[in-house]
Amino acid sequence: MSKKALTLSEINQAVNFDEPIGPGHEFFTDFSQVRGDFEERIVYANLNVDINGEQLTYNHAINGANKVTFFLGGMRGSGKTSELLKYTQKLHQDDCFFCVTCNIDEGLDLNNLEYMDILVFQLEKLTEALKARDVRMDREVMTALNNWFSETVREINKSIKGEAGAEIGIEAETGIWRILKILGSLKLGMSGSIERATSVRNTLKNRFDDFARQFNLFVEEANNSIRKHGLGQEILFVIDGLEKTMTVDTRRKIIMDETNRIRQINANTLFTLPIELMKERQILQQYFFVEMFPFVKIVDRNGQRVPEAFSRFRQFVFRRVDESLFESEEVVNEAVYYSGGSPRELLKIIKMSNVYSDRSQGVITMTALHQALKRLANQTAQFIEPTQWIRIKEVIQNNENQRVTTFDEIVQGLLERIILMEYNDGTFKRVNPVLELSDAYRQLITGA
Amino acid sequence: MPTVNSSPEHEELHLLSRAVEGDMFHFVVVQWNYFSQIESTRSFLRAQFRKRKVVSIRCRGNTYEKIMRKINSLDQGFVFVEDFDHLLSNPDLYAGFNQRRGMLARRPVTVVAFLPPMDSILQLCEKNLPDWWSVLTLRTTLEYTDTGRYPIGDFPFCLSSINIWPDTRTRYRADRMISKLKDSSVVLSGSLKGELLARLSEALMSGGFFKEGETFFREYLTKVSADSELYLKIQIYLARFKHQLGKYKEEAELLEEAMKSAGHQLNIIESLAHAYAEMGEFAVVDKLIDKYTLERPVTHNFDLERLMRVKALSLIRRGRFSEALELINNRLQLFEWLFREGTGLNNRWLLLQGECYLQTGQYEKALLIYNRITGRQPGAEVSENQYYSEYISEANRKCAQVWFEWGDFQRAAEILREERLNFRSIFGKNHVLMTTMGAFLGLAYLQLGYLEKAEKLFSEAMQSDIVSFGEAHPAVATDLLNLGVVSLQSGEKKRAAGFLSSATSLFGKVLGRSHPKTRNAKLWLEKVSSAG
Repeated sequence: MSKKALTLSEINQAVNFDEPIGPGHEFFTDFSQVRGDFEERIVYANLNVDINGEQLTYNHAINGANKVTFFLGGMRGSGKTSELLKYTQKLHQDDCFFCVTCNIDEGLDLNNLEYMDILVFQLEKLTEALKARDVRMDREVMTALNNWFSETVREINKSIKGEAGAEIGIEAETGIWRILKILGSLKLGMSGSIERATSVRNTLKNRFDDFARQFNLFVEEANNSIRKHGLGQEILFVIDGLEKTMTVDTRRKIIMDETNRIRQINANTLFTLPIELMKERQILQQYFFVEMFPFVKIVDRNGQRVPEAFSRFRQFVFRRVDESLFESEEVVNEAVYYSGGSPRELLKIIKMSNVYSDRSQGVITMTALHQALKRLANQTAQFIEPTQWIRIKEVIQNNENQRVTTFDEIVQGLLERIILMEYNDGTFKRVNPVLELSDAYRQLITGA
Repeated sequence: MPTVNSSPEHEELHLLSRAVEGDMFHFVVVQWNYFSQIESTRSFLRAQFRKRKVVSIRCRGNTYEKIMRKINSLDQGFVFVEDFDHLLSNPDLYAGFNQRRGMLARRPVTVVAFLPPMDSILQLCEKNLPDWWSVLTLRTTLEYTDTGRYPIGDFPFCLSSINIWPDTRTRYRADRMISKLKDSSVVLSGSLKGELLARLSEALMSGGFFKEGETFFREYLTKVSADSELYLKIQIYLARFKHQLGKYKEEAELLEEAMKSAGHQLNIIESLAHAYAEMGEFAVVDKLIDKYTLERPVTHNFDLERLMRVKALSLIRRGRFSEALELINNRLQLFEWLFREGTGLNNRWLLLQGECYLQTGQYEKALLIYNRITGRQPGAEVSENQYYSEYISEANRKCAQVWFEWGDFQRAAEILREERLNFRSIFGKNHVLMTTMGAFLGLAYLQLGYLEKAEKLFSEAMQSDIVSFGEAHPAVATDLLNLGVVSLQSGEKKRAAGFLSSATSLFGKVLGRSHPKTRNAKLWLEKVSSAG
């Protein structure tokens, strides 16, 4: 667990950007109101949640038949996971949702993943959450569900007979939570040998109409039960970590090729959308809600710095690193400017500045910051190809002339590598400010 | 605390030690430009963080499970991955490794990934390990400044392996033709005799039987003085053997004489230019090539191909690399447009292109060219089922040379060992190139301190070179030098002095006293004398 740095040698652990920080953590900083046109209420509105001051409510009587699948996309390092933790915490209350978080990277085989795996994982997580809260479920519904899954497992085992030891076992457990064991076995089956995983998935796909009906029945019964227990109005699945799956193809297959199956699932679901699938927004929007989670807007289109954003970022920094470890506030402001509004990029800059700091001085100086920025700039520019430089130049010219930069594969590649950064609803793009300090940028863009 | 100096390498090491402060997860990528920096970096970090445990891993030859087991054996400390480029090139390794970043990141472990000085490999890191790349603590490039980077010993005298035939088949063919040509009871027509002599020349040449070839054709020349056409042919064949035996002056005299009777024939001009290029008389080379090409459009004339390659080679030898590259790139552009990639013609030019980069120290570019010929991905191992050709053989040897230049003698040795096995299975163990490669492998062993193995390979090379080239040849002098160096390393100074003295006088005899190789041998001899 990270703690606030009071000396230079403690900075590395305090700026560790691999640890997701949620509300309640001493490092958590709320960036609401400083993400340009993006506002938190857009997320709630998309989930049919009413906002009354601090109170969030979900009216299941009105919205019960209108379940939402919502994709929240965003660039790497924009603080998406932290924001998601915040939303989940706010939404998880008796007048609103019973949130079930499914972190794909923690529970599934990221190298070999399909939508069926995610659905089984969702069911498993939901069942675990219900069991943990001792939620009483209708015995008849649970028995029917148990029977259906047991029968499915038998069918899978029939299809993989001949492969020694490959059969999926069902422990002879009884009671309504027996389903948990079956789901665990199925999940295990999908992370084992390719043959076995394919058999499990194919069986579920072949019986998908039935599977979807059982899934929906279970969720609906869970909705009734949590209401009775005063735990929430409806279930909300929060599915994070999709961008950590091994290949773009895997991610694309899960989201784009499974659109019809996703539509058959009647459950409120919030997916984080990997950055490279944001270009499919138009297609996804035909059926689902899609929003872009932008970086914090620290500079307006006219080049003016946004004081509130700088103030929030200083707060973000000083919660992790004591103010006395910076030569001046101006050092922090300069670091914030070059972060481009990305919390992760800012942490990287501070970490590198600390590397360049003279331990005998005991503070991060402006000189150390500039040395760090220069190194990061040249390393960022190192692998940018000539066609990408041409596009970067166009983006700069478009911004100068108040024109929108059109989207293409090159822009997509630059966004994925955070060479371009996106703000507002994605209509405003600018070059990562660190890049401006690179020798290549000076040579190719400013002509210096 | 280790000794601190202000060299760029040490400054980077200090930055590195600050970046990995704190008992938490770190991932650093260290690009070396000389292999020994791996050890110096490891020693530096160990001295800086004495309490941390250390695990060193080599990915080559290891499975994902073995690598992870080794990493997991460490609850805290440093994991040094010496050949991270192997991991980045192998999907069986990098796919799983990328996924385990989250799991490893929960432990206070510092993964130090060492990479060779190749941008293309660094890009693979970004591409194949995106999760690791996104939490990269520091990326550093170490500049090696130590003058002691130059390896001891000398590269073996290398021959081109182009147009070689399997050894057994070649010997059989040669013997059959010799017996036919020498059989006085058989009367051969002029044209048949000519055909047999041409084939014999090719067989003896490709089998590496240079001395035998020289003797045979010198003797045969006296028998056909009446037949001017055949006489000319034999003059040309004899000249080729003299070239291989390093008798460039005699070769040039023969060819000048042949040109007087035959005029400016392309094959004579080409061989003559080659001979003068070997003697360092580049003005004559230019004159010959210009004389032949002035009236002919060079760009589309395929007959001029070999002559153009001689021109490129002579430019490389003169150190005029940009001119050589311009010529090579023009030809490559043309051939790649006309033919598919991987044809012999393209590969000949690619080898020359690689040579330009190798000579100018642009090792990554050279390696990428050689990988293009062998069809190997950067950092990947040689595939067992790979299609094998003489170009691949030569490219593999050149790959080994690049790793040698980078100081990774282990990897150079691994490539050469594999290459020798491949070569042996196709061309036989007695082919002259087997021992040449053996000498190269011996040189790698010498750097790694495997002195007995090195000496054995150098001795074999010398025996084979004496058979192929005779005793007065630069190849033999190089073998003597290497035997001297290995003896010196073994502490046998008297023996070393004997070898080095012979090497110095032989180099002086065949290449001249002021030749760099002669001077180098003399320096080694002085080293033995000063060592008492």
